[in-house]
Amino acid sequence: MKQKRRIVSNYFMNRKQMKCVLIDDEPMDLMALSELMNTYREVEIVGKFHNSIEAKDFVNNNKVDILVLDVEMPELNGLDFIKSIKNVEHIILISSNKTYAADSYDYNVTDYIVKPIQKNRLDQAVDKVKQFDDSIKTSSNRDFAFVKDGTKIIRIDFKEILFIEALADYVQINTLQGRYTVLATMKSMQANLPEDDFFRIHRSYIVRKDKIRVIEDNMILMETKNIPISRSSKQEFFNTFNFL
Amino acid sequence: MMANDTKPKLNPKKPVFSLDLLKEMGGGNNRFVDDMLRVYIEETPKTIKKLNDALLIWDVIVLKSMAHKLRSPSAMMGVTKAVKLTEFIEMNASELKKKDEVKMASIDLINLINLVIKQVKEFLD
Repeated sequence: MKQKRRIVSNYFMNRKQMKCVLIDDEPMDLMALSELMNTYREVEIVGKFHNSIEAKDFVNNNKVDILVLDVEMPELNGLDFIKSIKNVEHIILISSNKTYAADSYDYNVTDYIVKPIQKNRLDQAVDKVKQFDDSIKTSSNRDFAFVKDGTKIIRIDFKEILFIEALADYVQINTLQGRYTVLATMKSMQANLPEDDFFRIHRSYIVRKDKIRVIEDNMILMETKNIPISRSSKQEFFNTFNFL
Repeated sequence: MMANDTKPKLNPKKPVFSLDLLKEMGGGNNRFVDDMLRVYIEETPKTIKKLNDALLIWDVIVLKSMAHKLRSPSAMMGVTKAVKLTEFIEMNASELKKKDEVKMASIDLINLINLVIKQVKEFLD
């Protein structure tokens, strides 16, 4: 499965509690999970489900920051469940088996916990979520952001970005070091990048202005790619430049 | 691992479960421990019945699934032998040459869990 990377789109959101959904078909596990998750002040449990099909509708129609779910469930297992949802920032997988741990990397989960869930192990998982969240908040007035890469969080310096391209539900951040495919919208990306340095030149492109090599007619030549300038953006774009 | 390695020697009077992990999870919340025990004695017999039915008709998929389902509650109840038996069943049920061992392990598991249920009921009373 192709690995996807996610970015938190609401960098500036002043979040009091992270909204959490718990899914486990085993009643004792769900109860235990609920009891343990309730001990975190930063977490608000907004949904508890024994049935993953019912949970899918809820998760896709509500804002969920943390999803904690079992892997082995009837009808729709945890891994297929992850494929069927979007816009959940952090996923913590739980299982009685260690065997899915390696696969979980392909699903961009924040953590993988083997049952029975112990408080100190859950503390670590919630800390990972909080660290990521704090990093995002800290970076909001700086010149970098973080993207999730499997269980790793990668820092991207804004000055290394060449351009950002829209790809359906994702955006691709093209940097000097490589490309990162991230679950985000162009609008959210634009909102979180320094206005002076970046310009949305086209519905599908945001460019870093100091990485532009040549502008010719309605095209911009970047380091590696020619990018079209939309007619509606052209004048505003030129107004941002100081010509000699 | 052979099923016999994990064969529990059942002593009906000796407690086979431990509340240590549940107490730790509950962080001093006795009601949580009590609720968990009540869920255990309500839910586990259903799983045991399905496991038994699967054993009678040798439905490997259900057998593995029910063994799996029993693993986490067994671990939470501190019944280490039951956890090992569920692992053995899940790992070996698909291997025809281990059918007899898996059958034996399943029977051992059923007997052990039934004893846990009986003891938990007595504890709650």
